[in-house]
Amino acid sequence: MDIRTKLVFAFAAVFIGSLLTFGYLLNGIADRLIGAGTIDQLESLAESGSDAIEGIVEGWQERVQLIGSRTQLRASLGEFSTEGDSAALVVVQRILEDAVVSTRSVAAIAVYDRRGALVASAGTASEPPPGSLPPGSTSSTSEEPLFVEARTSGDPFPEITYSMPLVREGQRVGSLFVVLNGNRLVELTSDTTGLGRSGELMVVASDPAGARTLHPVRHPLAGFDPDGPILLTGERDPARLALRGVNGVERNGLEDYRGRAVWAATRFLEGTGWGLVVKYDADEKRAGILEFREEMFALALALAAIGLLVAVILGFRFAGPIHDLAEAANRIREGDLSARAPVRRKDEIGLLARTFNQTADELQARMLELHEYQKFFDVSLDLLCIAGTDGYFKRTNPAFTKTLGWSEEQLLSQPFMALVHPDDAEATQRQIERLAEGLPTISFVNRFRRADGSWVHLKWNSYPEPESGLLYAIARETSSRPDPSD
Amino acid sequence: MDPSLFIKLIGGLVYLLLGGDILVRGSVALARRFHVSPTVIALTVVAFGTSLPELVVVVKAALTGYPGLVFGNVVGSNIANVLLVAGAAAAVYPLTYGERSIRRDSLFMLGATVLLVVLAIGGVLGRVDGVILLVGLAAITTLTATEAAQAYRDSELKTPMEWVLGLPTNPWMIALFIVAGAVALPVGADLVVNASVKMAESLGVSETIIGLTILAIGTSLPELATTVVAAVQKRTEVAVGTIVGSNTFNLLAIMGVGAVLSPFPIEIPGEFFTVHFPVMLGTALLISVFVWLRRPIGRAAGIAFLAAYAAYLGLLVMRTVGQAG
Repeated sequence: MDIRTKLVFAFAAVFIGSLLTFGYLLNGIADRLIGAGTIDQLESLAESGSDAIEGIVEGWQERVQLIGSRTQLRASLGEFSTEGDSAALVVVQRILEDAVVSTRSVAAIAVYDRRGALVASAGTASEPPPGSLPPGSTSSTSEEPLFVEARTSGDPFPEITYSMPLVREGQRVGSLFVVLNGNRLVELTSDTTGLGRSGELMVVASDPAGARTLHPVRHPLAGFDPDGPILLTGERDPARLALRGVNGVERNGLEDYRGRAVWAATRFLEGTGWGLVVKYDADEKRAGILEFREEMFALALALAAIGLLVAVILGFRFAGPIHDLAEAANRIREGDLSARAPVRRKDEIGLLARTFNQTADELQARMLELHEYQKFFDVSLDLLCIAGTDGYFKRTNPAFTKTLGWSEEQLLSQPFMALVHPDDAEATQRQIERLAEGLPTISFVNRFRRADGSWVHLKWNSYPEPESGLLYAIARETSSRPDPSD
Repeated sequence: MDPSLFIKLIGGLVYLLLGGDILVRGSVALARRFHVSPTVIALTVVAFGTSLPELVVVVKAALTGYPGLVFGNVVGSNIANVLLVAGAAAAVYPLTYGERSIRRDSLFMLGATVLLVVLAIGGVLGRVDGVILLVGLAAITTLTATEAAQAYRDSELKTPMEWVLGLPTNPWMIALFIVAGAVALPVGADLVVNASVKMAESLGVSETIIGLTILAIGTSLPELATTVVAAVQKRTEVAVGTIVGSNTFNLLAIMGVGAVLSPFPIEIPGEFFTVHFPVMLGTALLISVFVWLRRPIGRAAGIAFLAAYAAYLGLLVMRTVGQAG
């Protein structure tokens, strides 16, 4: 692979990889932070919601207590139940009617005698209050108002019923039932401040079907009365958690009455046995996280692209000259000795290119020189050869072939002693031994066999090169016999 | 304005340009491996490939329902090609005409410009209009195929491809080039279109304005760079031919593909008829007159082109400010 491509792709991989990793990690952090923020929000909404409900409930209790604590009521009830005094009954009736008119939120009041028979009642409750005290409280003489039930039929406002034993001189004389209008509860739950687009605060009570709300809901379901409370039958409804007494926040696995996944905080409300649910649609919260994630992802990609551009420029600037150098080297290898690398830089790459160019200059000069010598070697009339002390020619010039008639291939493939005249063999051998000792041969004459079988006298000058074991020899055709004096 | 929008826009443009480039390199290398003739490669892969960035942006904008971007990009590109690219190059060194066919090519460009405006008169550009534009493209390509092939054979395809990244030879590298390009292009289009739309939102202007200005200049940057570099090196014979060809391609191919792929007819904002179409027609006519008279576009003309472009941008800003005020 091209070094420029390598460099660019390596840079690109590093840039994109590191920025995407950064984006991914940031995404995890954002998820945690946004998630934690939402949990805090749900917690605090649940806390303030349950405080508000506590306040409302206390208000109701106070009102019941105010009605039940009237001495005249107990006295008259006692008189009526022990003596059947009808004047006392009129007093009781009048007290109740006064109380309904004068006490805020009171819808109806009823008084029962100790046997559970209705004595008197006043007000406009949809149904008369029940005729018995809540289980376990029948024999109670404590004068605390007790929550009996929340009735939610029809009206947008639930009707909350409280009871209170009426005690006179340590003796139970009957019981008081007060039906209160739950409009403050509805006001509280219909206020969506701080709950975003989907969130809601719900007060729920147990129901045979699972649970029910005590108020209309924010997202009324099609086919249901939008002003009425609804049943919560879902197995995974957060209301179940609240009624089971779970106080906390849950982000997973909850579904509200619309079947939507929700994040919810739940509280169990002591006293009334109700549950409080504060919830957001998971989608709404997740949308923020998703948007953040997409933003981060896009930004990371965009930054990586800018890195990529830098990578391409760097690749071009740094790898380009190396690529050019490699191209030049390749051209020289292919025989184009004039190839040079462009020198565009002053750094190490520039130095490399300059050095390369100088080396190429020298090489070119040497090659020229070599070319010149080669020419002399080729055109020489004298026989020029390089031979080894192993007895073979290594190289011969064209004059050899011309003089002897052997091709260069034939000359190089056999020991040259095979071409020497048998009568000269001994003298020639002696000369070779001298050469091997490093002594030059001057004007030694012997006979060589031509390709056509005739003999030629050659006069040799030979110079040994002991370090390479080669002989450099020049021979010339001569007519004379070897000089006997030699 | 949120600075991340600029980063996204620039990043998106980088992906578009690099993605288009490496996809072309990969495709050319692949075609060579399968011994497709260089002429065919030049006429198909290279011709379409170099316009891929605009094409994916237009397709993305059409699919996501931003017709202002579609028209803004194409019309803005054509105006910028003449006034900005030719103007800047001519200001450096006079533009002359190398190709013999340049007169005819400029007629094709004028014809394509008029065709688009005529098709747009109804106020929408539907699938049928897109097909008509593509048929026009096919006709011109057929008419000029032999000649273009000749031209490509003459101007060795290899040279520009060797630049920077070279052509991959190894099959894995070819695959890497093609895949990386095919991934980078839509990523870039996504970034560019989103950033453009958000930029328009945060500046309180229409997407059309963003398409006509930032996007058109952004996608014309490579042409601007190569043409000006060529002018600096005094090689300006092909500049006008390239601009004329690119404008014709923008009108027929990019607009055509955009209109065919758009899931609903593209609505054309009214301001195109009052301002941008006339300006585009004017610039097409302007360069055609120079071509027809075979008058080199000199330095003075180049500077005048640039001034006209600045005036056009100024007009856009004024109109925007006027609307906002």
